[in-house]
Amino acid sequence: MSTVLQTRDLRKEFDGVVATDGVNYAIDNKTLECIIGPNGAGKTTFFDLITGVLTPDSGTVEFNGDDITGLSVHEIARKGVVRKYQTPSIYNEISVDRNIRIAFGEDGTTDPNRRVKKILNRVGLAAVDDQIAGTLDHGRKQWLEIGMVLASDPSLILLDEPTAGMTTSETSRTADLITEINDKENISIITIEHDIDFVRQLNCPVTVLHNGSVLASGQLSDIEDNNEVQEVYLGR
Amino acid sequence: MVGTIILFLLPLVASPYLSFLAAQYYLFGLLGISLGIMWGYGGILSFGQAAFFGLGAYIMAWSFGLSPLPINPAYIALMIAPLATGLTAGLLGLVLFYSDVKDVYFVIITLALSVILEQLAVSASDIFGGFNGIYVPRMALSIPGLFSIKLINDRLFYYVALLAMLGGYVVCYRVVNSPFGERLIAIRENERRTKSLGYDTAWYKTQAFALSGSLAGIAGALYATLSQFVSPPLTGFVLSTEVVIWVAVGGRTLLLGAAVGSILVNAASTVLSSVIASQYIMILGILFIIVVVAFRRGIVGYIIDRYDIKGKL
Repeated sequence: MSTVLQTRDLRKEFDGVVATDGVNYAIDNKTLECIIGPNGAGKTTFFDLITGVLTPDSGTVEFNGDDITGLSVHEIARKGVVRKYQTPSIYNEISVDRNIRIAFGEDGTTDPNRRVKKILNRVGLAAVDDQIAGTLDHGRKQWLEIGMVLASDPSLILLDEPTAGMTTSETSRTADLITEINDKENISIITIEHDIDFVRQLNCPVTVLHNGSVLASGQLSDIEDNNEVQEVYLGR
Repeated sequence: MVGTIILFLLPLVASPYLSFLAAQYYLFGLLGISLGIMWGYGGILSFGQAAFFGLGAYIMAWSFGLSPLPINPAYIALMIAPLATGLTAGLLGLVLFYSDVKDVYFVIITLALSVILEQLAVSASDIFGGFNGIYVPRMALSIPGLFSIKLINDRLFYYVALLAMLGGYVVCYRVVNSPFGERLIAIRENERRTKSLGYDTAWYKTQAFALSGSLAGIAGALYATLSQFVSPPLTGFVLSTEVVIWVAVGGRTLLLGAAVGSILVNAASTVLSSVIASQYIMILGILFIIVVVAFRRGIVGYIIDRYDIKGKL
């Protein structure tokens, strides 16, 4: 399997606070991984550095072997690294299906109507395709954004706490959705998460970030046995 | 549709003076539309529309000063004005949008542009005529070898102004209903998301601003030859602010709102200032506050929502 994303010695400092401290991270093609860590561990900053929202002070980001460090947000997105933000980031005043349509991007797609349907079916919003997006409940807004990310035809999806604010059943459906996307669409997914039950349900390799650097990585069961992780994160 | 026919028949019953006023309002309507496409669709408020309007007006004035030309000077002005103002807006947009300037700074910088141009027009009096302004003749409509009519008649100019506004409206209407327009709305709704879907949002905003600037430039050029006089306030701070009020009153999320708001507020100003000269600005101010508080989508937006007639426009 080939590496889809690789960061090397990625570093970012804000006014003396090191948010990302030499992170070396790699994820293979078509795999699903989780990043966990306590608040302030630098998880969102890490995503910001990958997607071009922030420029690293040093270090590089490679995507499919190309150095994408320092490219702008839209250039990185066009290469196929697309992100879902933590709070639902959708177009509130227009309909659900138009949200998806815009997400196809500048080049559009062949047979957009069919693809809109397919994506809305995938994220479970086919019944509300003509509803104004801002009137959806919170969980559905999150799914719509996942649908938009999917519509942009990515090869790597970054999900920033996709289940934040969701009910238990919504969380569980989201876990199914994510594994399904990873499985059937052959897209690599990195998801940041707080909820350990959700991580367990995803059943994927986990990387623990702490104070801006990688503390541990491996299967969740190994991570949970790791003393250091228990100390900083699980609080046992 | 019926409205458009009425507008075309109006000069037949209206006095020349009323036709003159209406022509002015239409050009302000075009100026309003130029702001509406930026503010209502792109979500970017420009407080410098008068800079482009005024620049267009001066270009029209200068064109008549050129030594006798083989072609109609007004035609040259009507080509140069949108090019120059569109280019100015485009370059400014390029610099500001690509440096990710915050919306509020964009407001301040465009406002500054307006103020700077006004000051320049006052101080560089050998070019801009200073406070005294420049006299501008009425333009002529001509086809070389066929005919040439100088638009002295206000009823004739009425049609030129009306066509300019309707033309600007049609162009903008097509733009906002194109994929480009959909992306502008996407930027207004959520720029971060739009960028993260691979759209170069700064480039879309730059193009919208260039279009906005060039429409304001055409409006200004025609206004100069209609009113036959240009002076620094045409580029200035006060007019820039007024356009924002017109569009807010009419309803910024609709092009029609921008146009109707501009026409209504200007008509109201004319009427009020002749009836109660001293307090009319205060009354307008109060009206503005009432409209903005009570009708968030402006008067036109309110009527359309209330009677659900969006599909018929």
